[in-house]
Amino acid sequence: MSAYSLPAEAVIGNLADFDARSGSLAERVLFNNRLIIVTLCFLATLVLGYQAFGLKLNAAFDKMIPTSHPYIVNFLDNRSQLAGMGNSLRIAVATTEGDIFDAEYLDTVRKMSDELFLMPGVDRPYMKSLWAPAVRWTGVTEEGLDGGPVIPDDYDGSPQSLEQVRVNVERSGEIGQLVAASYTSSIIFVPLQDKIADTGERIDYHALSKRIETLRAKYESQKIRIHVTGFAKVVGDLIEGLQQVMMFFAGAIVICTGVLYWYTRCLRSTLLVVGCSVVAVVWLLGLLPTLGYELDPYSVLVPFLVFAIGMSHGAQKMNGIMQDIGRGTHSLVAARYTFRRLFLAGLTALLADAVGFAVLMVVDIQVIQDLAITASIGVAVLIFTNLVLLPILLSYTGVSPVAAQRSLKAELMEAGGAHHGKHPFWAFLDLFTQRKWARIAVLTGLAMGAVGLAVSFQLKIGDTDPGAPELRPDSRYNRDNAFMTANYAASSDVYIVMVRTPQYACGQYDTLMAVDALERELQQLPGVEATSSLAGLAKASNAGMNEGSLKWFEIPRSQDMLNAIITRAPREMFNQNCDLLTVYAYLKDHKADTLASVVGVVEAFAARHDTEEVRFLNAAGNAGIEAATNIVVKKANVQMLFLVYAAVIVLAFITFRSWRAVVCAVVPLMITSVLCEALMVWLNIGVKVATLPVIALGVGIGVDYALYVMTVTLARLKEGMSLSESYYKALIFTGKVVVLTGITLGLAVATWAWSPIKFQADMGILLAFMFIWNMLGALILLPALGHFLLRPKKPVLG
Amino acid sequence: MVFNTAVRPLMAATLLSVMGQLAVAAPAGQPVPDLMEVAASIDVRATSAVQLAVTRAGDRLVSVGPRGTVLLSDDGGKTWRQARSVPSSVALTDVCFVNDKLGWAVGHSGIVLHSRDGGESWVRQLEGRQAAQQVLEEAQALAATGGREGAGRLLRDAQGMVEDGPDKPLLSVSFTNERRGYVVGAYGLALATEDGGQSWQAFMARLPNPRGKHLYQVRADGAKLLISGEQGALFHSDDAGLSFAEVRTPYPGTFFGVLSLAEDTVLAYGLRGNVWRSGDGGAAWTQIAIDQDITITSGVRLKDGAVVLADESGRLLRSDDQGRSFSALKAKAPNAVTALVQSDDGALVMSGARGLDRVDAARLVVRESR
Repeated sequence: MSAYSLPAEAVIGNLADFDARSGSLAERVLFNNRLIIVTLCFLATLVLGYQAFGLKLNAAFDKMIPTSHPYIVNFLDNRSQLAGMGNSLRIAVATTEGDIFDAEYLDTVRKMSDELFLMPGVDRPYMKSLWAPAVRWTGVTEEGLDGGPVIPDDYDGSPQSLEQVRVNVERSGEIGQLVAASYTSSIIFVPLQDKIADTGERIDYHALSKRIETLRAKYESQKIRIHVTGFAKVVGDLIEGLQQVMMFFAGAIVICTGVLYWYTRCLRSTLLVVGCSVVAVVWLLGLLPTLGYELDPYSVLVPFLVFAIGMSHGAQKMNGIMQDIGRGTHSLVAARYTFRRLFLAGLTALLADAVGFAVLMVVDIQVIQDLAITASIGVAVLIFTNLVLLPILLSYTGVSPVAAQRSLKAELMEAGGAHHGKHPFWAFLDLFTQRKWARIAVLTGLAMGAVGLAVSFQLKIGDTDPGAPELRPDSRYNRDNAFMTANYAASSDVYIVMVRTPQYACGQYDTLMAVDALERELQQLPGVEATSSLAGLAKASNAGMNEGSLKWFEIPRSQDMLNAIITRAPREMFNQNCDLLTVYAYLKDHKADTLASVVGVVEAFAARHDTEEVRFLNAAGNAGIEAATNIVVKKANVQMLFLVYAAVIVLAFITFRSWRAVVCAVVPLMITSVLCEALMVWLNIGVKVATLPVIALGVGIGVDYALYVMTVTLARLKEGMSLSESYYKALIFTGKVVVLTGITLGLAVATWAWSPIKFQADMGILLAFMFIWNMLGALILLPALGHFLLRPKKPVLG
Repeated sequence: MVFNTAVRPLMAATLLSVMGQLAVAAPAGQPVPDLMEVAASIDVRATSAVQLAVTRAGDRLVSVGPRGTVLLSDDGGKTWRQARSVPSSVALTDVCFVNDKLGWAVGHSGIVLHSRDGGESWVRQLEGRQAAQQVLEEAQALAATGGREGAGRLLRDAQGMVEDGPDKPLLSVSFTNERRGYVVGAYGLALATEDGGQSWQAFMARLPNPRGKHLYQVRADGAKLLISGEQGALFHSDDAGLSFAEVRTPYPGTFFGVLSLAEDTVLAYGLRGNVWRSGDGGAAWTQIAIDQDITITSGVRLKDGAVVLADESGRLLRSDDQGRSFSALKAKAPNAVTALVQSDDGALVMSGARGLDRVDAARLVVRESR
């Protein structure tokens, strides 16, 4: 870039000697109107800071799923008919003494049911508990069928009526569903609407989760234990966890400030850099609600990232200004010089970051798109705060004279060349431009890349842990989930196939027979624990209507019989119009292989047996949605890598104008990407909504390092210096800030590893790895590849 | 380069999937064929799913159940495997073997299957439409000879049966030798064969069953036949089914089965813990006390003369006094029992709601009273 080939600017100690009309138009506009710029930024900070209070933390079910994938389209088309299956809470009320046939226990369940019934967002008609009138028992008598609510109308808590409840429960068919087989717990099933029917507002999951926790605190006692599972609770817990995330933000600020101060030993400029980065975050947080966005558990990490990136660019600016001031230049002139030299490089690097984020827009999942937009806004903000506002502020404050002297001394020593001896660390890195070390580095890099690639083929798509993988395995939620799985037959991983028929034809014999055939195929899969549908229900009901004789365990061919069965069937099985049947497959887990096997069976069955009348549609239920998400994530992972590398290669080529330099810059990034995938295999982290952005972010930010190091190296090579000399110059000019940046960014994101939210921890570990390895790649592998690919040019005469 | 090799096939896949989406998707599938025409397939869960009947074929045990499942055991019910070839996937409700090779199974859609190799492979001998046709022929023949009261009703019912199609299940089968056998089922359906199932003739008109009660069990022993069914139905024949007499019982509920214990001693069992005993060929009946009113689904006479009944909760009841009194066994099936058989080694083998279970002979003892 031309910025680096400029001759060193004159040292101007007196402002009067400086020509304010020199420099680019942008520089003149900005620096000749410093006060206006600072005032505008101050006002913007006030306004956006005020706006930031309106920022909401939330998560919506629809935003986490790929809404245009055909499976999800099917799900959304039929959602209103699916009786709240997409989103529900299961609350198990367990007793630690005796069993549930206890007046006090049943009273607790009743009170809880009543309170839950009144909570906003509850899909009341479908709510179930021991006390729900829809939960009934049936029995056979000589006269025919007899039945009633499980808790009899004349229940009075006496031993006789408790015994009646026990008998009713035993013949209700709810054992393993609403009542644990051990009789020590029962479930309150609470389906939720995505929008509150009364107000049309979206459910506030945080508030809902808090209400549930209040309920838990109120009713939990020595005797009563309460376990809650369901998407709404996961999201509630995630949002709760986000508040802890604020602690990490504070931690990141402290770490970055510490590292920067250690590097500069100048309090005033360190505070300015940190301050400007915080201003960037404030602007971002203010812009989001202004533009109609909110933070979700995924995008909440963006402010960190923006802060850390801001620190790295701020450090570059400060470093330049400090060096100039150390040479005796006036602080305003020093700021303008630095702006001249580094604005374009900073802009290119930020654009590379933005490209990395923007590529995420191809992923058809709204949380990821929101993350991309949030991050892009953040990067755009950084251009103002850290490339413009920071140099302007530094032009007022300058740096502490001691620090400036120190910086100059260090620069002189480092630049001392062969005569004074090089700085040992930079000298070590410089070794990689020599044949022996270059060969070692390249061969090691390629070997690691090859091993990484071999391992990365085992990379799993989707979740690898049971329960809610967003949360840690020992979290309250996952312990509650384990309780549910241990005590209740229906697993928490439900895959739903929707069967569309003509109106009023959902109960036809041929349809039910086909559904039964599908169920049977699903039952052959090792990942399927059980299935249920109207077909299975028809068999059981046929037996039930024939005095309980199992000899009748078959779908009756008689339509009269089927109609009689359907009128009694629970509404989870079919819709009001009788043109939609739901087939439930309860899965062992939600691992990608399990989901893929179910998807495969249903797809193949649909291909064979879909007709004009009856169509078998994937997929609803949490497992069905996850299956679709996996498919989208798998496709997006490759697309995204392709696009981010294409973009980075184009950007690098525009900057370097040399394919050799592009190879030197990009190959280390690729090896890091491959190693990151291998690390995911090793840490048992799957590619999912949370980890998908990591590689794109890592590549986008990692290319910064290569840009900073390579541009300076190329400029020196053009001047005719040897590779070793050029690289050494690059190291002491921008290289040391690359090291600083790599460490700062790495440390800041590594703190996420302590997040209570599992996927944030995963993102933190992976991003820290990407930042550190990309830095090492840019400092070691880049010069080593350069040794084989780059040659100095004859200096251009004239 | 690492990157390109990974990406190229995926690009191709993406392209293909885009093209696939562009093509207008008209469903080109075929409806699932009728279960009668679909051969039973191997089911990994066959041994843990509902089985509806179990019997002996020589030393072998043969069990049948829904979806055309036939299971075979050559070690007295310890391990089971699925039969090689069953031509139909309807639920099979009962099975009967006259020796170690020849057997018949019946099921829904009025189906009769026949095996000549100890249950390994089966062919279809009858299905509901043919059965209805036979019922119609019987009624027509009866109407042609004229005279008998109710012939018009029988003809109307038979015509209705033909129109209904194959919607009536056969519920029980009994063969006395390799040629003569009887099948009974829902709505009074009853057919017999004299040629090992090559041809079937209805005998519904011979049963005094004007309301078409479901017939749950037929037991043939030489020329003697006992048929039990819905609403206290109990029919008896001494002439190999040429004529039947109604046995009047005091109980109006369903008898799922009947056991002939000795000359003139009969035990009928059914709904809500009802067990009735007659020691005089059905003239006088006494109710046998059972401590829980859970439906008794099946019964068997053991080699030592004891009688074992099983109920819907899986409880086993034993009598050592010719059915005069019953006590619960210690051993219990985990779920509803559908049929009982004693294996060669004396163990009791049960089919039921969760597959097959076996109780060793040594454990067939009455629970000690406290």
